Amino acid sequence: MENKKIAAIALIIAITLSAVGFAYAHWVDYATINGKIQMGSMTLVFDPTELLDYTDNELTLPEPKDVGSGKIYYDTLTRVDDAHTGLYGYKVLVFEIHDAYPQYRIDFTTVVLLNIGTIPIHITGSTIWDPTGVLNWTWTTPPPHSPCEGFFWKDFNHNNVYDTGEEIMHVKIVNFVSHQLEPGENTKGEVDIDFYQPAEPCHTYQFNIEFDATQYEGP
Amino acid sequence: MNKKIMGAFAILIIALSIVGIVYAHWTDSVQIHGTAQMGSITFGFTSIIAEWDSEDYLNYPAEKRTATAICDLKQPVTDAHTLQTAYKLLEFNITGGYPEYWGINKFTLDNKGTIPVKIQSITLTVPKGLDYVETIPNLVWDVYNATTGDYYYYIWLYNETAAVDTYRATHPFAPPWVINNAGYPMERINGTQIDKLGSVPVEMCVVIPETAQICHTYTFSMEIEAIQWNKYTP
Repeated sequence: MENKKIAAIALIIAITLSAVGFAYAHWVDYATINGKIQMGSMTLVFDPTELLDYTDNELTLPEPKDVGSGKIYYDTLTRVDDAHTGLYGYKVLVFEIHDAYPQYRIDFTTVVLLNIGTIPIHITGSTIWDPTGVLNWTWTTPPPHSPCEGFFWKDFNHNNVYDTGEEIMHVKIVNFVSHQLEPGENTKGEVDIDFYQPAEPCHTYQFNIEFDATQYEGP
Repeated sequence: MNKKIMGAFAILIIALSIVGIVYAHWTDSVQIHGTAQMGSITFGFTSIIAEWDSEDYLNYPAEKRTATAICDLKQPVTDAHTLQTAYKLLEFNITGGYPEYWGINKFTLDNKGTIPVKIQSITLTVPKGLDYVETIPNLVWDVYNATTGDYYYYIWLYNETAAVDTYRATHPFAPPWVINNAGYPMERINGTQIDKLGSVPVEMCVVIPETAQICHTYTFSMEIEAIQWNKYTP
């Protein structure tokens, strides 16, 4: 009986000491770093504030006429809003040319690219093609030259190479390639189109022009 | 051995990370979508305005009116843009002709396309054995037998101008040489402009001279070329 008491007391002391000892042995503290990385945005658009317009060569002809005409408008379905800056713009600009004819020239003079993102961007080049595959494109002065220009041609004799007399229309792109745009900055340029004699009456030709940009990478 | 494996692994990681950096460059683009709808040229005839002949001019009695000069329009074409129709062929037929008979047809030259045109050229084609001389260039063609030199018919083609109408107001049915000699020069149709959906009145007169042969049939073909107005060469 005496032995059991002694054993119980020893056990209690051991437990008590271990408890006290535990407390002393685990004093710790913490400092926390919460990281947040908010990426910038890179959004190149056509400037929605620009008043779209065009000019043609008919009033400057020796005998002024009003035959050909154009339309220029934004594809409103391609509107994008930059979540960081709250600015917006359009990804697609549409050109329409009606009743064109050889030697008709139309200049879309209000093509404005706008950087609505948060980082500077660099316009690296432009690509031009016929989405229907009917016309072929040849650069005469390719990007990164600015202005850059070339012409569409149709392989009338199906020999897969350009031959004199197959030119349909000449396209000149002024003042975009190699431009750097700071956030919120825009640049105005134009796209000039001339029709050549082999252009066929009563035909409809299509073309796409893409302006490519990358993040600014330093000087 | 383990070190070699570790080294190769480290190089692979570094290489992939470099490639990853290259691909990770942010890019963006915008596009212009263009459509160029070309205009059209559809040139031809649309109407016969009037037909008369020397028998009308000389006021022949009914029993003496034995010849006719009548036109027909053929080969209709419809412009895809304007959906307007013109005829590519005008047939000018003289029936029962005789020396000193002449017939005039007044008709319209029409542009049913969207691009203005100008008359660039006129080409006369005559059957083998015949030839012609333009006694007034682009206005009067005298057709003759290339062997004998005998003249078979003359063709006048000219604009119906205000001067022509003025003279005819007092001299009904007057033929072109009479008007021309009266001090109202006939105007050739070359260079005449016809705007989009426009129309100009023109007259053709065919004259049969004394040297034409009896009971023969003569044919000719005259092609009138119209060109987009800004490519016209005088």
